[in-house]
Amino acid sequence: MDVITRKICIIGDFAVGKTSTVARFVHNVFSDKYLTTVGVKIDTRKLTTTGGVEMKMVIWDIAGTDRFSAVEFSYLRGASGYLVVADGSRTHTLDVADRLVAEARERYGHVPQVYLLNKSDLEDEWEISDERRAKLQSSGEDVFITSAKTGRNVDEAMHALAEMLDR
Amino acid sequence: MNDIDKIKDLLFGHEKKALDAITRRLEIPESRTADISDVLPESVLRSHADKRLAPALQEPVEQCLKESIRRDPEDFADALFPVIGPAIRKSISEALRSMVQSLNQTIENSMSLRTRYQAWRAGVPLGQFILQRNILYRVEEVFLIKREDGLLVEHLQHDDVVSTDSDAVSAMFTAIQDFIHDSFSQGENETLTTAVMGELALWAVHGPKAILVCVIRGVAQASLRTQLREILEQIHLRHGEAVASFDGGTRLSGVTMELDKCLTLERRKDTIATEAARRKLPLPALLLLAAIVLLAGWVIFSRYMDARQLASFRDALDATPGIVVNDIQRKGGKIVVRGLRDPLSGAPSDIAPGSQIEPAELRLELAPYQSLDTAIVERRARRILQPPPGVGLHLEGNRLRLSGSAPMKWKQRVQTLAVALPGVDFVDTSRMSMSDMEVFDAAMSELQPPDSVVLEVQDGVLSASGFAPQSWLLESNRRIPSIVGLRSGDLLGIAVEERMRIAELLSVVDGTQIFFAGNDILLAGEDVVLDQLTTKIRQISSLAARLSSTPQIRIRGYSDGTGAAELNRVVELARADRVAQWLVDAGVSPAAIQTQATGSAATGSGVDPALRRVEITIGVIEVR
Ligand SMILES: Nc1nc2c(ncn2[C@@H]2O[C@H](COP(=O)(O)OP(=O)(O)OP(=O)(O)O)[C@@H](O)[C@H]2O)c(=O)[nH]1
Ligand SMILES: [Mg+2]
Repeated sequence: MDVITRKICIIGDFAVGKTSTVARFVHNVFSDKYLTTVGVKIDTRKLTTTGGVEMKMVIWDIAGTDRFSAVEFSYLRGASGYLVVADGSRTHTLDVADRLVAEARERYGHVPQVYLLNKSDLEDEWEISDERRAKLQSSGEDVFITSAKTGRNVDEAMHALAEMLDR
Repeated sequence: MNDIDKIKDLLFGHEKKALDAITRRLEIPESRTADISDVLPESVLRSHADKRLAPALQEPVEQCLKESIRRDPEDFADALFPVIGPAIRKSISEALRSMVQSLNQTIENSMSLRTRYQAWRAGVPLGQFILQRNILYRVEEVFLIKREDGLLVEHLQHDDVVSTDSDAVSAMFTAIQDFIHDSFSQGENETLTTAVMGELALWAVHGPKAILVCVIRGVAQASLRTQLREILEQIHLRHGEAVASFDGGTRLSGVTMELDKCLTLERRKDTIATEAARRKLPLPALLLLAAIVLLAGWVIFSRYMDARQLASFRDALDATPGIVVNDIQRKGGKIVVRGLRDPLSGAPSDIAPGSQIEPAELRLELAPYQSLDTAIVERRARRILQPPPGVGLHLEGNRLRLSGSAPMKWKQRVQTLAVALPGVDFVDTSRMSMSDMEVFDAAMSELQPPDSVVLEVQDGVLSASGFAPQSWLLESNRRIPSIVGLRSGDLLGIAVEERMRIAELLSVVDGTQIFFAGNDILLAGEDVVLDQLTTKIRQISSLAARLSSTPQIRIRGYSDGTGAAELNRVVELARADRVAQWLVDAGVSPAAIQTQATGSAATGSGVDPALRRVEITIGVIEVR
């Protein structure tokens, strides 16, 4: 059985939980400590799609930013899919996410992607409205309400992206 | 259809069908294309054979190429990449081969010699030494990474190497490469080629579609990079398209074979050992080398000796007073000395043998000058002043010190002459001893002796003879120390004149007898004798006075035996007193006179005029 490899980039604003999400997905761990990512960090995890294909995801965890610089653009080059992460407790991180997606598209064209509205465990501080989410979904995006802390929907989101890539 | 048509059809039906088919084929472009494509290869071959095709195609093809390159140079470069590298390398290496070979030979020879020496010093056999010293390396892992997205196309490693997540490594390498490129590099084509961590090094070679990254243990030679580049070029040539369209799916089996070559790139001990064996110098070359070394050694040694000889000669010249060397060098088999020389200095040709230099080798270009060197100034002073033997001459600073003895005349001349010498400002004769003549002169003028005195100076010692007055002697004795140049001396040889005269006078006067007629009456004529006597006594007194003494006069009276003894004594005394009175009357001090009766008369004897007398004795006693 052949393994296929895919390059995935995880993009989003500062401290939205990109690194935490990868840690949860790859190592199934979580830490409250915030260590901002510098440059890029790469992890891999294999999963099997519903079509029975074994896929190795090479995940590029790019430092949070509200605007891509030249280096970050070069990190995005050749990516098969994006994990677009926003912090559900801060609506403007979703605006940043939209903008980042727009920038990436302008440069490299359409690439499969899923949205992750993270930190769902922070129910009291939740900010992103349902209308906003519905609007996003109605524009054709796959949106997941996730929590790197509890692990909610993280695997699901990754699998959903994997399915898109197995075509 | 009418009959004619039928007949036509019967007669020509077949041809018409054929004609129609031909017409149709001519009318339809696709079929014409198909026709031409059928014959094209054949006709191209033919026209190529009669050499018409190439000239005909040249222009359009050239234009096509130009246009195509202009539109997309990238594609062209990529297409040429696998070919152009080897081509350039081949031509360069051809051009360099001959040079490199000879260069290599030299370097290897010298290295091998040095290695031999080091091995000999370490006490280890040469082969073993080279083995220890040479650095080994091995390509442990190889990654073929898709240039565009960092996806790992293929990864191979030795069995004994611990596995890593090669996909992550591949992606990370690409990320780092991008990061470094964007952060530090200006040029579009600059790439990350080496990363080193401890024993491990990452070497990357970049192609348009893929990057070849090797993990190397140890330190590899630069030539390894060329080998890796060749492998990457092969991959581009054979699998370039497949790599470009690689999407992380099915692995590219063909690539594996090429990559496998990378893992064989290593340097083993035994290969180095055989190289070392190959490097052995042939014996004739060794002998030749030894000869060259000996020759060079001899040349260097003799040069060194020559230089030392010259230096010691120069030192000797510099140490010679009156010679100033400005320059000394060998020229055309001669030693040329340039500088200054005082004519009174030692001759360089006399100095040369001390430095093992033949005087005949010398060529002197020395201008004359007057040296103020102490030794030379002294030499010059001797020449000009001509000191008599025994005279010492030394220069102290600008002072010429003379010693020993010399005639006065010479000394006077020196006083004026010497200060005219260069380097002499003062003349000091204070240490010169004086000649006896000079001392004699000095003594004469100091003592002013009377003619009765003869002075003599010998070896600086004064002696004298003759006689002189006491007063002169006393004065002169005081003056002796002030005679210049006298070492010692006295005037003991000189008699005192006064004492001499007194003695003379006494010899006449002492014992004088005065005769009497009777009692105290003087015999006729005796008064003359007395007068003479008193004159002489007065002379003695005055001489004695000069010696601070006085004469002592004793007058003794005598008588004959005619009278009574008692009476005779009276007569004797009377006679003595009579003479004493005479003297006193003549001015002689009474204190100096003693009178006495002798009582000498023999009773009963007859008249005897010879006994009627007085006898006078005189002595001078000096009180010192
Ligand atoms: N409560 C909660 N906290 C989270 C969650 N995910 C991340 N965090 C916290 O948010 C902070 C930032 O998380 P990171 O994963 O480092 O964020 P990041 O997006 O990688 O940040 P940068 O690398 O700086 O861009 C950390 O303190 C995390 O512990 C979550 O799902 N719930
Ligand atoms: Mg992070």
